[in-house]
Amino acid sequence: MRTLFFALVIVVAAVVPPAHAQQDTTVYLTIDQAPKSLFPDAQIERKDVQSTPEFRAKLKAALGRVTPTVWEPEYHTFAAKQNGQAIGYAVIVDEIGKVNPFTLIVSTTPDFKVRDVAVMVYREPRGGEITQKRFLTQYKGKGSSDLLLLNRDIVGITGATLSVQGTNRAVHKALSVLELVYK
Amino acid sequence: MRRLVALSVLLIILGSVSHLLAQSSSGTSSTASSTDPTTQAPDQNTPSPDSNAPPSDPGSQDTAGAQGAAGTQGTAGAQAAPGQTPRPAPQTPGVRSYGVAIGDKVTVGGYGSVRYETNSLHEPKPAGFDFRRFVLTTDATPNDRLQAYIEVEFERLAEIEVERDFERTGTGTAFTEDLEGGNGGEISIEQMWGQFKFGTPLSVRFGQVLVPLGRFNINHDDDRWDIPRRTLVDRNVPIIPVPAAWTELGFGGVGSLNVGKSGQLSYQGYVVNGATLDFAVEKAVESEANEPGVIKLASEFALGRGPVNGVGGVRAAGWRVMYSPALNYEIAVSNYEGGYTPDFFEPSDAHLSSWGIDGLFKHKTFALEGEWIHTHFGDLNGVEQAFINAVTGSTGIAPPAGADGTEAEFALTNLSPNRYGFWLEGRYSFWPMKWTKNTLAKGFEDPQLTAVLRFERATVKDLIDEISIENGEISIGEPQTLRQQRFTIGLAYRPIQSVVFSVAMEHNWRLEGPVLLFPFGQPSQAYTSLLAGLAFGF
Repeated sequence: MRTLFFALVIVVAAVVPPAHAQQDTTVYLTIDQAPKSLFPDAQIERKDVQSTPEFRAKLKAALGRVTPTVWEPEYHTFAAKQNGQAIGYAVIVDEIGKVNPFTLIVSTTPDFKVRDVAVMVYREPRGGEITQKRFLTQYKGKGSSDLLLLNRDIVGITGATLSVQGTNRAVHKALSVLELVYK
Repeated sequence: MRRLVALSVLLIILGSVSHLLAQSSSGTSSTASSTDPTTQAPDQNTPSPDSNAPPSDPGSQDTAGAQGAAGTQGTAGAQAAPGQTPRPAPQTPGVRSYGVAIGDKVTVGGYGSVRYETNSLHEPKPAGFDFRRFVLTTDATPNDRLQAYIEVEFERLAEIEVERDFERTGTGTAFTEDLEGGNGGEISIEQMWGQFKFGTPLSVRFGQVLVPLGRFNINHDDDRWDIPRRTLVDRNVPIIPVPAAWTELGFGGVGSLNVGKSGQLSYQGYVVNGATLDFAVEKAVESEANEPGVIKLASEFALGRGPVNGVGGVRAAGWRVMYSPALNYEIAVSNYEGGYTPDFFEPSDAHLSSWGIDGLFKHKTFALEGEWIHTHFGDLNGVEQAFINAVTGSTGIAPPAGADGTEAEFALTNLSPNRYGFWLEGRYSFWPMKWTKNTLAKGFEDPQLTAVLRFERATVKDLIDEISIENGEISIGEPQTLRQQRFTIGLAYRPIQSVVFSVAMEHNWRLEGPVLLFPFGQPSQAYTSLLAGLAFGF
């Protein structure tokens, strides 16, 4: 068993790349890059929408049972066009996972169905699985009338329940904001 | 040893070369790290963040968490320079996702559960309210790459009270000690480990860890389950060598790798001190009509979690590899191998081997989850003889009876060469839309009802209930195979994900053998239990 133990330690030391390589694995987008990455060949028009009391009241009504953990003071929204035709919209939103807020960009089709979801900034030490494509893919095609609930139409991740619920709220909020701004 | 050194040198060279190749292929860019093709991670030449973009005001966020420590800003954080953005870390096996943050480095959480049970068994009838357990967790992450995690469990423990006293009399002094506590009470360290994130697919962990055999032991928190009783395989019989939550002191690695577009391969593996036959001294005072009382001491050997005091050596290893082709599928293989006899048993190299296969399938609101475990205890005849030799000083002559009114017993219990079993659980979650404004839903964003069915079966082959050495006699029980089956139907209400109120009805059948496996020794052919429970996490 002692030999096995030493062999294990040596294999670890030899095969695993040094930890500083991990710093390169950060998954995030700047506010400039995010809309371009979602609509790579489109013209993008940015529109910053102040969350006035009236806007927030409308948003609250649109969200219904969904209670966001973050009310942004303004929303950075984007309209993507090709040959003058709208091909989609996007908005940046924040929600809290366990303790800290994470930032998502949600893009939709012209009829406000989710086209893509990407994590721009993730600030929690846990729950990072929500940044994975295999999780985010399931939001494609969802609309504001969909449930977007864990164990209903969204498959959860064991040990990342709070982050999954935060993502559900974030996508719901994003859809409602885009409908209020562009519909 | 020489071969080992040569192999090590070769591995170090290979590791260094692979790292250099990885560096040269990625250059200074980090684009290869993106897990989502739609999210292009910025390269080093990315211009500074858009200065025209008005940043959000973190102070205007409505939640305390969002207003917390530096670096927790909302949308404005999206404009931070690459080096300032924390790396998204994968979830760590064994760590709860809930908790209350104390500062930005420490999270305190826990879970607890209580149960009411009544059943159709005759005497003794295990029924009533049951304080199952309360577990406190502390999760500290002083740095992105460092983590410490502790779980302290209080099981069926309402109080421990120790009283010591002395009294002087005319002819001498009486010293007294009185220890009071509830039946079955226990305080234990379920987990206590430190973790160092060594590299992308590997973190090394050192301390008291959950043995990764099957899926229940590593996901045993009561608030995760919709039936207020653990399984036959993992707790009540059990089929795994030590009942869940089974922890051992050791060292190993955990990690995961992305495989293809949507797959993921996760693993855990540890070398540990290992489960061992250990003794507990039981004290009893017995009475019998028209006879003086009897003071009885019994030394009972049974398999339990391994020592934590640095003796006995590192004698076992456990691992689990899980492949998840998509988010809604998981399948895993796990194994535990090791010695299980204490040093004073000769031969002391009897081997324990346990294998598990488990899986999870989810489709919309439906989930199917299961586990199969087989455990083999090697050289049982040798272990029996070693026990007798240890007690009788290798003479084979049992110690004679003691003085009147006293009895001493030595026993080795629950020996079986093979035991195996499985459980399969189906869950269907729902909430009627017309109930969204009723009492059960009011104030909750996503209440859920879950209908649950669980089918389980456990078999213990050639079980020797007890080898006993008492009053000058050595008695060895007859081997008998016991098999029990259980079917449970239940309904759980979750106002939030971490709180569950549940009711369940379970029916148990004795399929083989003269007595039940759970509760052990009951001669009933079948019985039904009604359970109601609450489990909460935070």
